[in-house]
Amino acid sequence: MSNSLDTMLSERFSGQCEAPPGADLADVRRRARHLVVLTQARRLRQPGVRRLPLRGSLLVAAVAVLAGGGTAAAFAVRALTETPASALNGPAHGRDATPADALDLAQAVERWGVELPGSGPGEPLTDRSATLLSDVGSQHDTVSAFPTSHGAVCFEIRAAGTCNTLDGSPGITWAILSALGSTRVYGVAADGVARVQVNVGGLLHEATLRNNGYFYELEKGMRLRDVRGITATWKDGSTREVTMPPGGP
Amino acid sequence: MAIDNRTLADQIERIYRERYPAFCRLATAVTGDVETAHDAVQGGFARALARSGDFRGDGSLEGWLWRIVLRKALDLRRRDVPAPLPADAAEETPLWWRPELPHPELDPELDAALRALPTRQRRIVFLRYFADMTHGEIAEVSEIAPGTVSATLTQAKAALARRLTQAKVADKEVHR
Repeated sequence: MSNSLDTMLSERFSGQCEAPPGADLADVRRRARHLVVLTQARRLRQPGVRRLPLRGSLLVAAVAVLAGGGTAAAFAVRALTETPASALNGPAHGRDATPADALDLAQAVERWGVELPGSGPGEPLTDRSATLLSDVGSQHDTVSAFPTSHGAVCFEIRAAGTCNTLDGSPGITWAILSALGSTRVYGVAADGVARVQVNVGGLLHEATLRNNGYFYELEKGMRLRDVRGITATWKDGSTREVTMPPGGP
Repeated sequence: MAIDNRTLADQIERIYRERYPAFCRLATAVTGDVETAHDAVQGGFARALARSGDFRGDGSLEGWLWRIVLRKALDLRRRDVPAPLPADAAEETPLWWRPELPHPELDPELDAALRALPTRQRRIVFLRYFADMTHGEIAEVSEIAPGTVSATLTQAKAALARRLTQAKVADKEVHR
């Protein structure tokens, strides 16, 4: 009786079932990447998560996270400590120049790992932090960075920065900081990148590229929304582009 | 329990590949249509991948995934249809939901019999026969003891058998 009732109910319920759309794991992965990036942006937006010397840079950092997050899901699934940027694979150097700002970002990354375990870029490896560029631009900025236990790189100017992975296309991370009357595009480039250019208003401008770090300051009168993309030219001559969303980052 | 994130992501993706139709059926029971259900499953698994660190390992991974997908399906349904809570909602867990047949017109007898059940019984019947879940899975997703699932299902089946038999007898009398 019970078995026949089970069979009867199963059959009658199955008559209600339509065939669902096909499984799409690639779509699940895309959505997961998007969620990781949004989570990251939310953490950076929350007051108190980071102690920023420039409050105005916080929003810019969040924008940069959103735009630069194409490979961010890898944070949750990789367990590498070597990065494709050799400047970050050795012992720390140049920390005297910017210890406070780099460590400020490192603290935020640590908190991220505690509060949202599994979703962040991993443990900051500050013993491998490096000053990639110093005294660049009109504000004499310093670009510093450190790798993480998941193979991501975190980088900053004046503690405004983010974390991302370098492996895969396009081989650069990026962020944009608008503060003190100037807008700077900066980030970390993989060893294979020979040249970085910033597309501002349709024109390509050469960024300073040295020691795996790059930096470009927009000319006066140009604004954040004028940044249309970043082009990385690799040593083999190939170029790979980061395109900003319509309307600017 | 420490769980490697890569291993966990692999397991989540394996469950998705192997059990996607069952998760869709569960979500369909909540949302009422397969397109929204598909969206709930996609969103639920994406959330699980993005927040795999939230899995504490104190229950089964699949049970955790069932609950995430169910919550996502409820979110999507609430967004479309802000249904009022029925009188017996207080007995329910935060995963409260009152399932409906997607196509009641195809089986009005079953629809009527299901509607006569208390919400908890109806939900467990849906999980068992519509979503094709085991008693253990139902216990995990509903956050109740397996024994409670069995007892509730036994009561529900007895009530359904009575109603469906009555309907069949009435149908025969009409056609005699």
